[in-house]
Amino acid sequence: MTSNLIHEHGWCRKQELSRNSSTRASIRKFQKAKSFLVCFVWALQIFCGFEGRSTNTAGKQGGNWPSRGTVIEFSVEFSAGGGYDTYTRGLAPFIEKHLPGTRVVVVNRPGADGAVALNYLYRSRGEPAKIQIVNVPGLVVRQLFGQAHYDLNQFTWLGQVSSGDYVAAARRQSPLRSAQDLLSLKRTALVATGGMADSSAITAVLAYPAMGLKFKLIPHTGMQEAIIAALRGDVDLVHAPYSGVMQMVRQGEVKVLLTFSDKRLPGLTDVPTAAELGLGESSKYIRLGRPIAAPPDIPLPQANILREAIWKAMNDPGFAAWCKKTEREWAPLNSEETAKEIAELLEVFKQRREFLEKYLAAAR
Amino acid sequence: MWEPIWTAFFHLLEWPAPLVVLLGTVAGFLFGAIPGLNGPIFIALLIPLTVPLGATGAMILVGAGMGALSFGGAIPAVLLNTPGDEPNAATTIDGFPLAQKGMAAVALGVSALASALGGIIGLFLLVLVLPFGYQLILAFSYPENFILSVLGISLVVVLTRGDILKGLIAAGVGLMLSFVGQDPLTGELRFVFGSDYLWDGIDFVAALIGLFAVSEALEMMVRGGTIASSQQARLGFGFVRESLASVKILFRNFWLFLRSTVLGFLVGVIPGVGGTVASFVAYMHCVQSSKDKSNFGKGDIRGVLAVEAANDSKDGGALLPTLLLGLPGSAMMAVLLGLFLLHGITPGPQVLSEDMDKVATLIDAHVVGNIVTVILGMLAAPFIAKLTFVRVTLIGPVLMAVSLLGSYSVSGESNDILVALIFGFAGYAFARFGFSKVAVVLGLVMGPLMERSFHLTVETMGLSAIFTRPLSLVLLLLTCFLFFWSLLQRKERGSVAF
Repeated sequence: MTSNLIHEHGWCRKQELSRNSSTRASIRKFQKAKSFLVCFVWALQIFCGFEGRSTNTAGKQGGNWPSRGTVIEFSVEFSAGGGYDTYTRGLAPFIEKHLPGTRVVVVNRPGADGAVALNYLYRSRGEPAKIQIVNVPGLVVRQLFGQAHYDLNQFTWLGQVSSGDYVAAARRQSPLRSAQDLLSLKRTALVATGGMADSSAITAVLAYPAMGLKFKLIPHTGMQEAIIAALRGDVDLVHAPYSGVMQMVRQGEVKVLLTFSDKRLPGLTDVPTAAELGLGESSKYIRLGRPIAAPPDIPLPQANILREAIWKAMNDPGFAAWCKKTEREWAPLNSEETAKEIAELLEVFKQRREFLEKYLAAAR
Repeated sequence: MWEPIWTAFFHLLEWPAPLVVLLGTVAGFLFGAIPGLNGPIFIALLIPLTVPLGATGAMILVGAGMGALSFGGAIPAVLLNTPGDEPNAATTIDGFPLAQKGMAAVALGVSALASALGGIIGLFLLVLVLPFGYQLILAFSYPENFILSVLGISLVVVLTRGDILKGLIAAGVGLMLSFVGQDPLTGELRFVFGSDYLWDGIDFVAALIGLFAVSEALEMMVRGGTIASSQQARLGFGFVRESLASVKILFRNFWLFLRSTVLGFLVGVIPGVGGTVASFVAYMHCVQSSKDKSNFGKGDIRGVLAVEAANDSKDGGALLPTLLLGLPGSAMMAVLLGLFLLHGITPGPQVLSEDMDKVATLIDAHVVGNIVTVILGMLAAPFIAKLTFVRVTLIGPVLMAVSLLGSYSVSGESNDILVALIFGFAGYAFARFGFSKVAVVLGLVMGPLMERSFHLTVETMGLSAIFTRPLSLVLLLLTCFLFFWSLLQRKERGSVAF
């Protein structure tokens, strides 16, 4: 009897244990399924939320725009660091100052030499709360080559913060010591640029054939690497904005052979301009522009509010002092002058499209 | 040279400098720890805040934060197999297996210690070589970079355990994926399928988050249980014991630590090569130079030590071209350069005479940030390590959400979330079928560097430059030796690691 009871009790315990373990297994399965479900829902929410954000029209506001608390998205076409990013972050507080009650948020949206960010801006039609400094002439040429989903003629141009002059520079030890040395070079010159179709490469293609120079573009990933290549002597010269090599020039590590500016640059008064050497009218287009754009189709009252605020921000003594302190070019243009300059650039590059295509292919 | 360093150190003790150091360190720590948020974003966000602080305050805030970034990135790498920042990818190789063994606290302690001391020695080396840094920066050209990338790829032999073919296939997949986008020389578009999103190639951070974080979240939910097994839990806790163990491990492997630090510093000096290469090269050196290789990839603390030391010392190296030439070699240094200019520091050789006090403040704040990090890290390690005993079905969804948000936060691009998800599923499949995820990362990292530097070598100097330039030839011979030596050792002792 007793043994039967013990046996029965043992059997019950076994039953209970197996029931418990099967319950535990079910609980574990349930927990896993729950986790998967939560994961799936969160992933979907995050993706849909941000995808929706990319194309939202919430920024559209009528009446007294901008209302208090309006967030202005100031996009940068490149990663953090570099000229465009620095200018954007430098200007943002002054736009906030001249658009009281707003908050200007800087967003880096890098990709395809700025085309990704500009495509995004183009898609945000009618949204005044999105602005961007545009990489010119790189993105002008991209449009002409049919590699863009935007039309520069349709953007709402707000002004231009600065434009930089390009220079041809060689390292201190280079046998090329002057523009004359460069022009009389018999072999093909290796010219370092910041990319394969960026503004430096495009302006180089406009600049050097007009001088009768045989050259080959050596594209790098960014201007800094191109300048270092020139310092090492891996290339004959670097085609760079003057601001990019200014420090090296002051240190005496790099010498400028010629500039592509309208007149001789301060600090380089002994260096001839390309125009003096007969490059002609093109020198006007061999410069790095930093125009500011908003999406197309912004209602005029809102566009004018933005234009006025940006003009005031660019001319704010604080911003001018910041540019001076950080040794950045400061040459504000108003919205009309900017729109005119962009239209002119498009026309000029359109006329030179075949030439550019031919040279960009041949120069590599 | 050393006097400003001492003077600046005493400035750090004056109120409110200690508070600024603490704030910078905590902020850097958090930025490092969240996948997707990285050094450049950290400094870029701090720049506006530094304006009222003035130049000295700015250097203290940013220097301290930079000191904490690397260890912050090691935390998710060790605990969740998810690198907080790109260079921490190599930390996962041995860090996560250690966490699985219940030794997360020790791994984190060693990581904090190696990061801090590595960072400090890196900065010491920076001050030492500043006067003749110019020659060092210009010594590495395209052929050397090409050989360096080949050296990195040859790490596959060391990383792959078991079937070497699978390792090569994984690295090949990584290389192929790295070729998506514009050709670096001709600008022609490759495998972009009409999408401008792919013009610059597959976003590396999103791919990394997918391969590690998302796939780990999936793995956790399938596996269930906890990261560390409960039997081994007792090995873990007790602050004093863990701290002592970490210190003991560091000093037992001091020469390895020192060599990895110098390697990290040297790779950091080369513009455009990056911290991820530094970490992997240090890991390779660690495996190669160790007599007992049997535990690498299964949880060898030396793997964590070497990687973290190199990862932090590379900052000292990367500061060299930024300070001396005003030419930043990495994205983080580019943003730092913006900060310098904003606060009136003009890079160049004159920095040694004109602005050495501010530079010294940055260096000292970095050192103090490292010290605060090691204290915080070693104090917190046993507690953070408890995460490895939490049910993974709870961690998984949180990890997934944080990772996807992290992938989006880098450039605000929703396609990055898709890339992270796709790489997540691919990473899960890779792990299931025994292919190394780290080999894929190696391919992705080394591919662009290899392609670009090879093309530029041929275009500017001709292929023969690889054999005629002394430094390039030495690196080539070293790579060949290491590759065949590893192969031979595999044959003799069986496979190693991962």
